[in-house]
Amino acid sequence: MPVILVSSDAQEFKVDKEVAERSILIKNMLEDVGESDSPIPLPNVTAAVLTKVIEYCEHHRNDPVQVPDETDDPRKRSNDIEEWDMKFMQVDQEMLFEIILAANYLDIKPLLDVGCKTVANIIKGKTPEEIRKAFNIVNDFTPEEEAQIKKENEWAEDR
Amino acid sequence: MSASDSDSDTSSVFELHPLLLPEILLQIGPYLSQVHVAQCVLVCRVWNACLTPYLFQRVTLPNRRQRRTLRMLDKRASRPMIAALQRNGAQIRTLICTDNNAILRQITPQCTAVETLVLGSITGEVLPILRGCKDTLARLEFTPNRHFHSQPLSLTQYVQSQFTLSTTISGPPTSVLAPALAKEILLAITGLTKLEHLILDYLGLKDQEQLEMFFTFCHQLSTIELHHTALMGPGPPGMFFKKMTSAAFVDCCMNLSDQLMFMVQCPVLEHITWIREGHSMPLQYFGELWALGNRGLKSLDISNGCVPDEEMALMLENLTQLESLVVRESQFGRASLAIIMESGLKDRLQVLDLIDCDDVTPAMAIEILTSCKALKSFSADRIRALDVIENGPWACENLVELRVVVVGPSALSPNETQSLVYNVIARLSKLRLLSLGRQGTGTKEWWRKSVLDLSLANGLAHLSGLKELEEFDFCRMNHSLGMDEF
Repeated sequence: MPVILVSSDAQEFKVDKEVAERSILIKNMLEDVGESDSPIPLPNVTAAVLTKVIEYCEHHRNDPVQVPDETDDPRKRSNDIEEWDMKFMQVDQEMLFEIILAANYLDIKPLLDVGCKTVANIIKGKTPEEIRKAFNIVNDFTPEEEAQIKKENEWAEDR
Repeated sequence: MSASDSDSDTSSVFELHPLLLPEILLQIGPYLSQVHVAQCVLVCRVWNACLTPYLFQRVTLPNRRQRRTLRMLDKRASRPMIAALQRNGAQIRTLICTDNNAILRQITPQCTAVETLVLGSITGEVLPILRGCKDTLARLEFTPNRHFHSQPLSLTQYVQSQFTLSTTISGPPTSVLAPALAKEILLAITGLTKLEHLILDYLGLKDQEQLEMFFTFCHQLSTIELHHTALMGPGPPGMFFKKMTSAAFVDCCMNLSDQLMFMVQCPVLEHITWIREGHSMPLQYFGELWALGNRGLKSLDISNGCVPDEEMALMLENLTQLESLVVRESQFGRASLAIIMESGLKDRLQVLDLIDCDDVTPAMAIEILTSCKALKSFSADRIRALDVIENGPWACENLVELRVVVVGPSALSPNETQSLVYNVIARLSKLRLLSLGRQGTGTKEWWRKSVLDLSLANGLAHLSGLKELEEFDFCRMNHSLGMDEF
């Protein structure tokens, strides 16, 4: 049975239940409401972003449920993005952030992970100034504060 | 002001930059390595607040050499670092301290949730942190010079060293701890309620009562590694270690028969490392014991053992569940290989390491590569170029790690030979690690006979098809990459 999703700008999207349920938020909503064909409003997601998100969910509709990592290492790899996902994430920065925010709101863990990996890969190898420039972030440290932090964290560099 | 400018202005009033939202930053943190986090915490205040915890999750205290580089040898210079470590001590999950117990002592009170602790120097100063983290520590490693077991000491040297005060800094540490300190450390270890993995050395336990106390504690462990002088007495008396899945004895001072009994007393053991340089290991008996208990051993490392090939073969016959076999510097040969080929091991083995095995001929190595379908990691001294060309592509298309030197002869020209060899290797599309240069520590120096050059003209570029490759070791390979190669 299809589910109808409504974006913030009032566009309706008809998707398979199986696809919509990639979002844990929607899955839980459907479980709470039970059988019903009333549309589900998603006030935080625009039509443009929702189109992308649905594209992702369609492609991954048959993926097995993610199992948490068993490894002891809390650090995760960011160089293991599959090819399709990589292409999917080749969007402008604004859209990338929108997708991350939507994945976070809709609770689609694998999509959120891919988004965060993409951002992490942009960060890698950059100096603080380059990172600020890449993401348009304002430096609100005084030069003294910056020097102090540098000094405190010297041990972590160049290993 | 243009229209687009005013657009972005109005939107920024309503919504914050997504990368300034803590909930998003906290999702990105785990994907960044420490070097990158160190840059991120300098970006702005929000990033600093959100990402600093990731900086301190894993802390390796600088050793003496690193402190010299950081000009931190005098106390005053290391103060900012210590202050930061103290402030963030509660974030530290993994703490590695190779030689600097003075800094360790200063930050110990704040380190309240360490889960993995690696200690290189065992002094009384490590006691407080063992006590302070007694309910969080899951892994403890005493590893003075962990990687030196290529040249371990003889038993007599250990025993002698007990009576001499070791003051030398260079060379492998030879002493065991003073009995009073060893006792206190034993008490601290046995108080670790969550510990599952223990790597032990230099404790020198031999007192009956202390040994019993230690073995009783071992019931809660799933991994144990006993190096050198960790234990010097008899094995555990009539106990069963029902959680132990992995045991390692690396040049351990216990009797071989006691070590064997220890392993037999672990009913669910799956991984064994059993190394005693220059000793004849009772492997045939070991295999029989395992078959008798009908237990499935998954991985075995018996490098450096002086065991004849035939005896190793008899053992392998009994280890039908084996997935990983590491037999570096051993007499692995025809007989052992025959067992692998005839038994289910051919389709089961995932890891096979035959480095420095002089009896492993290139023909045997190629037989393995062309027959063992399940192989994920293979290491050997050498294979012949002509075999590679004739027998490629290989059966083990899921190979993830390959360490081997490709040697001559070949009937083709060097250029053709290399291009064809690189081509066969490039078909292993899952490779993550490839090492074609330095293999083993032996005196045979197979790398001198390598037919492969690092040269685009000779086909190195074929490897560009290996999309998963993370590590390519070309140490000791001839190279002729020049300006004209680009």
